[in-house]
Amino acid sequence: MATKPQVNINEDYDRLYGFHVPERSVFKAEPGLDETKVKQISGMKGEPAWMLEQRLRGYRHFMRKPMPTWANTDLLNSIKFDSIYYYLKPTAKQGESWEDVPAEIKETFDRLGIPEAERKFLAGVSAQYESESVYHSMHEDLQKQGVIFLDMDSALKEQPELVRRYFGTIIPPADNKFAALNTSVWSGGSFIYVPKGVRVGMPLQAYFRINAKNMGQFERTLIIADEGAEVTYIEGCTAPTYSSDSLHSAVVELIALPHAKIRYVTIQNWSKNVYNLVTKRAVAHEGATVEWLDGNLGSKLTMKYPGVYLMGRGARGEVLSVAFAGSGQHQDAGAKMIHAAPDTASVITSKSISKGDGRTSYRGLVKVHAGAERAKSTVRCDALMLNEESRSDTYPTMEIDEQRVQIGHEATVSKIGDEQLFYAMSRGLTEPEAMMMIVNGFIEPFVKELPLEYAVELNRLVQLEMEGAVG
Amino acid sequence: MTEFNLTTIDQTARRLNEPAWLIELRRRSLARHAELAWPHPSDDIWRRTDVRLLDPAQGFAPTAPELLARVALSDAQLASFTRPLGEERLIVRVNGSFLSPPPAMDHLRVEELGRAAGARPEAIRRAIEADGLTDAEQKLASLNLAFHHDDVALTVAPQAGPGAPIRLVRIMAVRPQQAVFPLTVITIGAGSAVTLIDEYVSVPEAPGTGAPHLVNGRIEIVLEQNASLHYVRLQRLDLHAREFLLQRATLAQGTTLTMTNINLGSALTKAHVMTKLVGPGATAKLYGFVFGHGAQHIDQHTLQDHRAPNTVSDLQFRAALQDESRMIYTGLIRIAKAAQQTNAYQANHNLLLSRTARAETIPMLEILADDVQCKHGASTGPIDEEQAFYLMSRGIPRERAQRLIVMGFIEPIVQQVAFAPLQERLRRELEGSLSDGG
Repeated sequence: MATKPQVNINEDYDRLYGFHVPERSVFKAEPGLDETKVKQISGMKGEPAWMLEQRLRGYRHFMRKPMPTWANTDLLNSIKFDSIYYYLKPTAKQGESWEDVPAEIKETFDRLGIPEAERKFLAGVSAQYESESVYHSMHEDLQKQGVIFLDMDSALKEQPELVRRYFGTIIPPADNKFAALNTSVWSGGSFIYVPKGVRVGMPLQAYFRINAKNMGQFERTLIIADEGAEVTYIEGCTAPTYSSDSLHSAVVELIALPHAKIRYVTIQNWSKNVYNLVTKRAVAHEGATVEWLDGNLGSKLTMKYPGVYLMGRGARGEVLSVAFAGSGQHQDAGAKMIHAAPDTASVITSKSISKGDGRTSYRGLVKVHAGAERAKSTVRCDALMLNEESRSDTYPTMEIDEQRVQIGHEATVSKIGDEQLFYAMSRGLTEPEAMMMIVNGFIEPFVKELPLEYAVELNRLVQLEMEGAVG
Repeated sequence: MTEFNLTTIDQTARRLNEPAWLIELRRRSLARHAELAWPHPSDDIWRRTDVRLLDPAQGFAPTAPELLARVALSDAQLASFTRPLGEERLIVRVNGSFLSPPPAMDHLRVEELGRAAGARPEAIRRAIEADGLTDAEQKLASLNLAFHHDDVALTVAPQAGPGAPIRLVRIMAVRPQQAVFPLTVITIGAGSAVTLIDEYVSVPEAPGTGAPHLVNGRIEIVLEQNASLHYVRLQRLDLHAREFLLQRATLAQGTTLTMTNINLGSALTKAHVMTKLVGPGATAKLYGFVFGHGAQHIDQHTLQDHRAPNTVSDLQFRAALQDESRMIYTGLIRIAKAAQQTNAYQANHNLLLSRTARAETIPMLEILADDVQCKHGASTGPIDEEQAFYLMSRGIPRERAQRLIVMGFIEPIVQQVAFAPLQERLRRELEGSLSDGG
C-alpha cells in the first residue's frame, strides 16, 4: 500500500499565493457603503455624470434587493457589508511600463509570474491590484489594427462613447443584488473592443489580486467583438490568506456582434476566505459564438453562472467548467443558455470534484423561447466524490416553449471506481498516482481547451488539491 | 353552507366512527394547515403551478354526508368503470362506500381507515404521520389529514403468495365546486408479494357547467421486510378536476417496489410521488406516464430518498404532450451519508406533439455519500423526423406513422404494468385518444 500523506492544503496556498506585502494605498475609503461614498468614488475618478447616475441607481437596487435564497444562505447572510472596504486606490498613477510600477506591487506580480507570462505568450496584459489596474500594455500591431484593450477606468475616459453605448446593457443595475453592488462601487476591470473582422491571434490577459484584508474587489469587464472579430481573453485571480473574509463581486459583459467569436477563460484561485459572487453574461448575435471556460478552485463560496443569450439565428454558446471543492469550500457554479432565435445551439459541460467536506453544486438553466426553432442544447454534468464527507448536487432547469428542438441533459455522480484504481495500480502506479491520473482524465475535456501554460498551471493546482486525498 | 372547519371534521369523524386519536389528528392537522404559509413562488418545486387553485377556501365546499348518499351514476357508467380486465380481485367504492361488502380473502383485509385505526393504531399512525414532508407539502397534505372521508386501509398479511392482482376502483361522483379527500393506506406484510391496481375516477354530476372540483388525495404505501409490491395507479379524473396528490412509499430492508403512475385525466395536477428507502437492500422501480391533452397542466414532482446502504432506485417518467398541454417535471435524488453503495437513476423524457405544448424539466441530485452510482438524464423534443420518414417510406401514412412512434415512446412504461390485460386496455385507450396529425 502507498503511504497516505497528510497535507494541509492551505499551507501550500500560503507559500505560493498567500503572501501579502504591506498595504500602501494612496486612498482608502472608510468601510461600509452609503450614497456619499458612492459619490466620493465617482468624484475621485472624475467620472461623467451618467456614470454617477448609474452608480447611484446600482446602490439603490443593492439596498433594496433581497439576498439570493439558494446556494448557501448561511454563508451569504454572514457577509458583513458594513465592514468591507469598497474602494482602495493603490498607487497615484498607472504605469506605462513595468519599471514605473511601485516596487512592492511589482514584487507581488513578479511572484505571480505576470511579466514573464506576458513576454512569452501574451498579446496584452493588465493586472488589477486591489481596485485599479496598475500595469497595462499591449503589442503594437494590435494597437495598429484598432484593438482597444484598456482597464475600465481608462476606457471610460478614452472611449466614453463605446463604454456608454454598451455598459450595463447586458447586466442592468437591477439584475441581482451583487450586480447592483458592483454597479455602484465598480473599479477597474478590463475593456476590450475588437474592430470588424480583426482576429486577435494571441490571448489577452488580466490578473486580479486582493492584497488588503476586508477588501471588496468589484471589477467590471466589458468585451465587444464587432462583426466577424475574434478574441480570447484570460483572467486569473488570487488573494492572500487573511483571517477575515473578503468579497469579490465582478460583473462581466460580453457582446459578440454578428459572426464574431469570443472566448473567455477564467481560472479562479481565490484564497479560501473569499466570497466569489459574480455575474457573467454574454449576448451572441447572428452567427456569433461565445465560449466560457471556467475553472473554480479557490474561494470559500463561489456563485457563478456564466450565461449566453443567443439572440441571432445560428448563434452558438458553450460553457465548459471545472469546479474543485476542498474542505470548507462550496462551489455553486453552473451555466445559463437562453435560446431566443432559430438554429441556435448550446453545449454545457460541467466537471466537478468534491473532496473532504467540500461541496460542489451545478445549477443551470436552458430556456428555449417560442420561435427558436431547431434549437439544440446538450448539458452534461459529471461529478466525482473523493471522500465520505463530500457532497455533490445537481440542479438543472430546462424550460422549453418550442416544439422543434432537441434538448438533452445527462448527469452522473460517482466515486473513483475500484476497478479503475485496481487496473492502474496493477500496472505499477501507487494509489495516489493512480487517483491523480484518473482525476486528470476526468477534467481532460476542460484542460485540453486551455492555452498550454494555463493547462500546466491548472494541472499543478489540481495536483496540490489532490494531495492527501487517499484514505 | 358547510365550511372547512372543526364542525365538518367532527361530523365526518362521527359518521365514520373513528377512534379518538384519529379525530385528534384531524383537528391538529387543521390547525397545522392554518399556521403554515402557502408555498413561496421562489421555491423551484412549486413556482410553476398556482397553488391557490388547489386551496379549498377559494370557493370549494367540503363533502357533506347527504351528498354521499346520492349517487348520480347511471348503471351504464358504473358498468364501464368496473368492467373486469381479467382475473383480478375487484373491489369497488362509490362515493366513500363499498359497492358490495369487501370480499373476504385470505391474507387480505380491506376496510375503512377508522376501523383499521382502532385495531392497529400504531401502524396506521406511523404510516400517515407527516415526518419528512416539507412545510409546503404539509400545507396541502394537512387538509387531507383533516378532512379525509373516502379512506381505505388495505392490509396484506405477512408471507402471502402472489395470487390474482387486486384492483381497487374508487369512483367519486362530484358536484360543482365540491372538494373530496380520498386517503389510502396500503401495508404489505413481511415476505408477501402482491400486485395492486389503484384506480381513481371522478364523475361530475353536472358536467355542462364547466365548474371545477377539487381532489386532494393521499396514498401511503408501507412495505415490511422482504415484501414485494407491483403497484399501478391509474388516474382517470374528469377534465374539470384539480388534483393535489401526495403519494409515498416506505421501503424496509430487502423490499422491492415496482410502481407505475399513469395520468390520464384532470385539468390541473400537482403530484408529489416520494419513495423512502429506509432499509438496506431495498429496490424501487418507479415509472410514470402523462398523456397531456387540451389545456392540461401537470406538475409532477418525484423524490428518491435513499436513507440506507445498498439501495437501488430506477425512475423513468415520460410525457407525450399534445394541444396546449403543459408538463412540469421536478425530480430529486437524495442520497444520505449513510446510504453507501447506492445506485440511483432518474430519467425524464418529453415528447412534444404540438407546437403549443410545453415542457419544463428539473432533474436534481443531492448526494452526500461518496460510494454511489448516480445518474440522471432528461430530453425534450418532437417526433423524430427520421423515424417518421422511415415508416412513411414503407407506405404508412404520416398520421399513422406518428401514432406508431408515440405508442413506441409509451411502450417502455406500459410494459412495466404487471398485468397483461391492463397493458392491453391501456394501449387501446391511449392509441384511441391520440389525435390525428400530432
